[in-house]
Amino acid sequence: MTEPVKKLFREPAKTESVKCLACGGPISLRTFGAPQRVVCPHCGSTLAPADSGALALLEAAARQHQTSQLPLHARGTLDGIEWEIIGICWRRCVVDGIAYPWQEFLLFNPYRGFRWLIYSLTDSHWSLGQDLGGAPQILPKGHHSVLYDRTKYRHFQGATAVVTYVEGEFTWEVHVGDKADINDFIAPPRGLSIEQSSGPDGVELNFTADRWLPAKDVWSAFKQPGKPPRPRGVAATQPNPWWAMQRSLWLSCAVFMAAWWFVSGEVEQSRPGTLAFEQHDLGFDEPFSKEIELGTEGTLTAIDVTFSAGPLENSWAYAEIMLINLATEEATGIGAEVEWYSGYDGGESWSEGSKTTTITVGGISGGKYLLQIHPQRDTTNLPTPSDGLGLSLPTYSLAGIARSPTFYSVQIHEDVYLTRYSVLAVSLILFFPLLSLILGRAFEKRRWRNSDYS
Amino acid sequence: MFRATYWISAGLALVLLLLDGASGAVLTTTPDRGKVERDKNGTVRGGGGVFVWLGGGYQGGK
Repeated sequence: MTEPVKKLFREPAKTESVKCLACGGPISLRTFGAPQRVVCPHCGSTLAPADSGALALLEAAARQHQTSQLPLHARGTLDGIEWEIIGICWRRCVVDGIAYPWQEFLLFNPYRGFRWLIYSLTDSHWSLGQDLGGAPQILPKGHHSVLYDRTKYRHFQGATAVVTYVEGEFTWEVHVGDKADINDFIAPPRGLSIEQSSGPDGVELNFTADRWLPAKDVWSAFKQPGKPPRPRGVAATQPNPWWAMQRSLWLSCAVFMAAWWFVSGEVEQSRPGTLAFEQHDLGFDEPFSKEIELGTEGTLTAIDVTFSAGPLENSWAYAEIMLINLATEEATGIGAEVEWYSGYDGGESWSEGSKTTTITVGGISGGKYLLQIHPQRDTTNLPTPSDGLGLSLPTYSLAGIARSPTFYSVQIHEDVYLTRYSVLAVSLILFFPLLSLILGRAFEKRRWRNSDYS
Repeated sequence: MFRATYWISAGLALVLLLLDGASGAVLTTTPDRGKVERDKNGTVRGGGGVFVWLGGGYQGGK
């Protein structure tokens, strides 16, 4: 059998309706334990309970009513508990000549006590605060930090807050113009505020624990029409969504890496890259043709076709290599080109191109093939027979030595291991966790941009 | 969403490595493939006939 929730007040739960002594406007009182201050929502006059129990006028005012983000006496359900807004207090601080205003909504539940709903007008973020129930320990070393309930809170910002507008009931003596020194400490998603104010009785310290609330949750809780103002930037205690998933991402990464290690090892072992065909010193005068065998019948394989030509100086060579499956007479055509250019420019030598090229072709069915090569070459600098001694002398030009190729070579390796599959897999496996790390850091940078340490 | 995308893409990459890493059909050069016919007038030393592409396309050279 569950125990009934303990009532916080001796008096029976009932609301009271009185008239403002200054303007006569109706004032609804919600706090049954008698409020310390009541500020008329209509004219702003301050009233307080007298010894007789009735409200006495402390200070008459004639200020205009200001519209807050949530209306006074609005009710909403947060964390499964229904709250009513019984007081609204506007405050602001000025830093480097810039004003940062916010609105505090005093929430009340007769069984749960009080909470503060805070709305920042600067960035439209919401947070929910409540009495800390203790005092934090100031840590002597490092970044100004405090320790509470085994959690270290780092100092985020400090400023002097001034009350600029008040309406409703309050459990403390609040006035427009009241000042307090506030220091905010954060350990996202939690925050801790230390508020210091001076009064006739001395210095008063208040400790508040707060946490960030999504704007849409506040809006739907208080059944407000439309959409809430869109929050901008990162709030001080806003949870970092990238940090929240770090553990699961890196755990997944470890599992994927283990799987990758095993699979890529197995695949590499099964791909020896055997030499299936090799021919050197082939001439360019006529095509070449030969029957060869590639792979294993009934399976697919990947092959490396290497083509080179020489001598190659400021010249090029090309080969159209065809592999014709003797069973199906389907051909696979590969174009291989090599070129080499070099010279001197301003006293420095340069070169570009390659005398060897390797082309990787996948999805080759195992079986017998006819290899057919149709070579082509640059013929502008072929050796001439006019040198008398039968020497193959190069041609000299402004670009340097030039020699057209006179022979070419072709090699075909079968069952080659393709590192690109392993590289793709490991890149994807590592990319996402690293990206979340980078985005998480960027998130924190944006958070601390609003602090005293930016 | 981010996590789901990660698990799916990393998983697919591992499956690709396992199933296609040996044959290399997906991530390699796509050469010309097609039918050929024997060139009756062609002769090539070293055996085999001369085949001619039935399709068009770049035939190399400058």
